[in-house]
Amino acid sequence: MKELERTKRISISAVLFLLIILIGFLTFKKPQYVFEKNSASTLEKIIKKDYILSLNDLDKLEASQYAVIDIRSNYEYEKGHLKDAVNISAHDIFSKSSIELLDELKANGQTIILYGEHPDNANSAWMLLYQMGYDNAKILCVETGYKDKTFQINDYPLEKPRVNFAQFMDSAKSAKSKKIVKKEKPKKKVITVPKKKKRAPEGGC
Amino acid sequence: MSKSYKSKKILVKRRYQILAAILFLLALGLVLLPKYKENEGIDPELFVKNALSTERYISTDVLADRLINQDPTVLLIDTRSEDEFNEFSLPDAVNIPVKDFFNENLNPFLDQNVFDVILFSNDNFYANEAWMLGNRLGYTNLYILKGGLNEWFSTIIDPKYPDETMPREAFELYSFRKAAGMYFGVGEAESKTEEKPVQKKKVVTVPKKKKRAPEGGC
Repeated sequence: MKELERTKRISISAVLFLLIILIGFLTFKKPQYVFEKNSASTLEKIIKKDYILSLNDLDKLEASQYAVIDIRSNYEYEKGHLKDAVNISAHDIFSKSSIELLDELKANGQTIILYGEHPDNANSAWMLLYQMGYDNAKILCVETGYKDKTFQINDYPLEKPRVNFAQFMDSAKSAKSKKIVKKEKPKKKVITVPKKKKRAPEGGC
Repeated sequence: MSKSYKSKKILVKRRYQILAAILFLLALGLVLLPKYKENEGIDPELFVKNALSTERYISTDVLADRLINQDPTVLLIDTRSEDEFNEFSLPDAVNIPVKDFFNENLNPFLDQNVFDVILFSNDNFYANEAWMLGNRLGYTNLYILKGGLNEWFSTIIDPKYPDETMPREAFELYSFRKAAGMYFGVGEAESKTEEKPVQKKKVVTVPKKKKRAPEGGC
């Protein structure tokens, strides 16, 4: 009988073991989205800078070749957007419908053209899509805004210095030596408290 | 008795064999599991979450304040080209153009957790690219100077004098920026239209009390 008891214990532990493995199999989750491109190849692409379009470049493309995607929020999109643009807010880029749309565009060989308030926002979305394998994505280098209550979209001068920094600093420095001579020293204000006259000692002879 | 015991023993043995076979099959199954691509760096979901957050931006005023206070944890990285860097850059900045991001000599500046690395370029764009690359690989402590050098020049080096109707804070910010500008090498002088209020030092002198002459007496 002792032998039997032992086998019982063994079979129980074996069943448990199998259960654990089964649970492991069932709960195993494949990551839903993965980066297809590694960082080094992304960097190569970044250096090339062939994915940045201006409004002029967009005009040259045929309408069937591309789809414009507005990555701003839905609220902003409703206020005003580029003609024929589709709204995929950067916040729900992983939603089922947007992934389906992106996959469809990729399968059709159409160019995905992203734009946002600022090229930086579009760039973030582009970096994500490119690394996820949507290598047909491009950025529209524009700035959006409103003028006279109508939607405006203008080319953005990317990384253009506002002034010549070195020159500007030089002139700012030379201003110093010129004007130091002119500079007046602030007068020191001295508040003098009038001396109290001493009372003549009272009394006495 | 002994016979039934023997048959039971055989049964147990068979059970062992079946169990072993199942386990063996399962082990084989593990080998045959479909390969899936593992992410290099963080998940795309986290990548987007980080990218959408504005935590990475540092304003020019905050940076100026930290530089003036000699904060030893600040490490400035200029992501523009070498020529631009040689022409002008912020004090003590290190030049790492975006293309040299994985340069083995320069990458250790970015991939560390000692300094707060503040990336900047003329605008945000190049700095943002470098930040994105770092973000994917899970680098911590990467920040971006908001507005880049353009913003630096329009706020710290050449601030605009606030309108008279602006709140007091605007004037305080202006005087901070003006003072910060001087620290970074701008002359004290203002342009002609702007007049800098000269703060007069008030000196209050307390007159010494004369000793009273002894009272009374003839």
